[in-house]
Amino acid sequence: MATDAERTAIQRAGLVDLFDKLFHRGRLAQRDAKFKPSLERRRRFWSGVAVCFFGLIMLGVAGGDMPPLVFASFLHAYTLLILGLGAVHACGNLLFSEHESDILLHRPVASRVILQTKVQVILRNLYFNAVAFNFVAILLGVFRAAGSWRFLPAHLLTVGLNVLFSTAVVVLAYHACLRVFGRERVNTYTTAMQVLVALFLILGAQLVPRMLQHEGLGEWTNHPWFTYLPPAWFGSLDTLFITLQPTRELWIGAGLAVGATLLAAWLAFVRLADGYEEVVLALGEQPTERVKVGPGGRRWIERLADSGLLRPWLRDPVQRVGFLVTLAQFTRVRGVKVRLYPRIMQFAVYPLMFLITGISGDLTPLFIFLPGIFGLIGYTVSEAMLYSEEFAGADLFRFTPLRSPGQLFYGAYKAAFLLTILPILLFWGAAIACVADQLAQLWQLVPALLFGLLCGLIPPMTKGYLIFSQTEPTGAAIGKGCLIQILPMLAGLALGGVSYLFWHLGWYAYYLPVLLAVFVFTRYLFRKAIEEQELAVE
Amino acid sequence: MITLRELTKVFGQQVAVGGLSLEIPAGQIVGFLGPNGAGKSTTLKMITGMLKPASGTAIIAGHDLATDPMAVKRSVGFVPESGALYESLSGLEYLRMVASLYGIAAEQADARIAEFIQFFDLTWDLLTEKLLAAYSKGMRRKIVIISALLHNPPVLLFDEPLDGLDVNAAMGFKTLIQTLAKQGRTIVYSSHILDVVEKVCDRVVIINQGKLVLDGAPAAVSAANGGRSLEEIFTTLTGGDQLREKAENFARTFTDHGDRR
Repeated sequence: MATDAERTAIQRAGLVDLFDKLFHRGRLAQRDAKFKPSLERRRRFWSGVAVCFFGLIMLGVAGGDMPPLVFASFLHAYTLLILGLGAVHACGNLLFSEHESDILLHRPVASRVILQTKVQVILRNLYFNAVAFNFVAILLGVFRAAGSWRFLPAHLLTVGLNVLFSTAVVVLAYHACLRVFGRERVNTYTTAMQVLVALFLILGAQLVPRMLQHEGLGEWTNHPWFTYLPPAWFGSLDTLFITLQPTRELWIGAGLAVGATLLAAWLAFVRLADGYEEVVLALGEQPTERVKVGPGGRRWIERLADSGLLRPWLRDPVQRVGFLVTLAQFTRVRGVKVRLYPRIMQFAVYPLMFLITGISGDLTPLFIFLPGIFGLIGYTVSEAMLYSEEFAGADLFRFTPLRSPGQLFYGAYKAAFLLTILPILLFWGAAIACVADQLAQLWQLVPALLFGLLCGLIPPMTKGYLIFSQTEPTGAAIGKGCLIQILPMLAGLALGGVSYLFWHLGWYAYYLPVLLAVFVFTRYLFRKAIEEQELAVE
Repeated sequence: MITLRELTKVFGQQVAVGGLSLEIPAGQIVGFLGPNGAGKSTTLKMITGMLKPASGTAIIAGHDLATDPMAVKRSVGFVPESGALYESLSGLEYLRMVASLYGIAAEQADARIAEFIQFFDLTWDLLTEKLLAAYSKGMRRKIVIISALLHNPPVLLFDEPLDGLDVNAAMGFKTLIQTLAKQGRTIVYSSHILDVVEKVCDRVVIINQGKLVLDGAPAAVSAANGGRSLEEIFTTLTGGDQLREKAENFARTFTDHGDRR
């Protein structure tokens, strides 16, 4: 018979093993028919290699020689971004699992123990990822940038603090949301936070290196506020260890690194842990939110579809169904939102750097680039409309008398246009209007819009396409999708180049009608191909 | 074995369970019935320690839920209606994890799991190489049932346990719980399938709107109600006595609207 201590040890080990598997497998494994638990070690190894490779890319972005403080702060800035994204995903998926109350809370295990083991697993895995991400950088630091063996233990320690800090901050942010918005809506804001942090990461990864290089890396340490940036805290601690030459700024930064990390960790993991059981219970008890309804008991989605502006556009009842389903999926379903918005925002903000250079007058690179970007957005949106965790709901379309999935797709694509392509187009239109010499330059957005709309018609031409009918894409599908995306990008660049040439030659007024005619003809061919598709029966 | 006194649970303004009192001795199978939203699942979740009662007491296997919830949880095996499990684990990983939560070492757990696998017609290959996400509904249900029985608890709470099981598995399960009751285990069986409840249970408890409305042995209840079936008594007690007429009237609307093919 096991003693109480032995039972507790077995219990903790079981929980750590459970959450470790959930951390690594996530929802992707559930939907991957080829996934076998026995192949897991190999997957983890290759995942570590991939993270290591991303670290190498980061160093490529950094470029030339840097002083130790800038080098260490730069590494911590990127590590924070990567960790922030990892922490938000891990905390969102592990800390707030909808069905966990029915699985765990009737077992003889305290909710505090559940929380502690989850945090332990998250911290351990994020630390492993952070070290893998910094692996090449550590070698570079020891042999070149810092030129001291002390960089190895120092950076391993500060990366650990960085992990603790970023995880604690994410947990605190969730706690704050719980207090402000209430636990009933925890699902909504875990999704929103995942989307926002992913956007922040993408924006940061795209813009920060360019801003750094724009000003010169060494110059940053001269700003008085530099010491107070979180990456500089950990960078200061690194530098203290490396140089052993303390300055007032280094002491402040290092003190902030240790003090802020301990405070955040205490608040997140000790002080606010008591409410955790209530949250897990609430997730199990109230999986669905109350839907806000307006006059006549109709939701905003239905009111929008029936508004005077859209009613003629959605006359076809099947298209209307596709439209409503897509609006609901794009605004309410966690997996769909987390997969879609960061990806398209990545493309949408990428031309910002061209716009920044365009402030000095030349918008040429932007106009050459935009059709490719809109092509990627259109393609990505249509591809995203294939997947949902509520995929079983699409069976409805299989047993109702629909001849082709085409009409459903058209309605869905109209919703996607309203929610994604149109706002991005308006954003770019406004940005260009602010920067361009003359408003007539806005006409140069037309090729981008037309090309984007066409590219959105490519995914539904493939066999078996039915909106929101498949589980999450497997690794192979993601890889294939990335390869296929290169084609719209290249074709878009070619179109951008040709369009700009006609603009430059002053023949744009003749070019646009021809382009429009080509668009109408190609669209006709694409739609014909879509309508010839039959509903796939599994 | 189970003593509930004035057990109450309130969600906001709504009283889910209002002052429920019950005494269930060891060795009894109690059919726990009620219409949707009557408070059955809430009561079961309070007994398992998943929900905190607003007032009242619950003594399970000699342990007071309020003062010693962990001892109660060790004494109870629960099959929730949702049948929730971690889908990214294999069956064996899931069952080992559950065993560890009750302090059962892996070797002991494996030996016991092997016995369950044989009883439920599962295979080691399936349990080790496939994730639960790939299991059929019936197989998942079997895993949930095994996870409730693995630690050999004296009290078993089943919320729609047969959902998804095929006829043979259901038959085996019913015989199993009857035998377990004879060994002295207390079983609370919540279901909407009244025929099964009538055949398997020693006693029937019906609640409606969180209140106890009937308690007795199936045969005695039927005799006291003019020999009517449990289904008829249930519908009368829970306000469904107009159901037949309502269904017949509604069926006529199908002919009124004509054929829409």
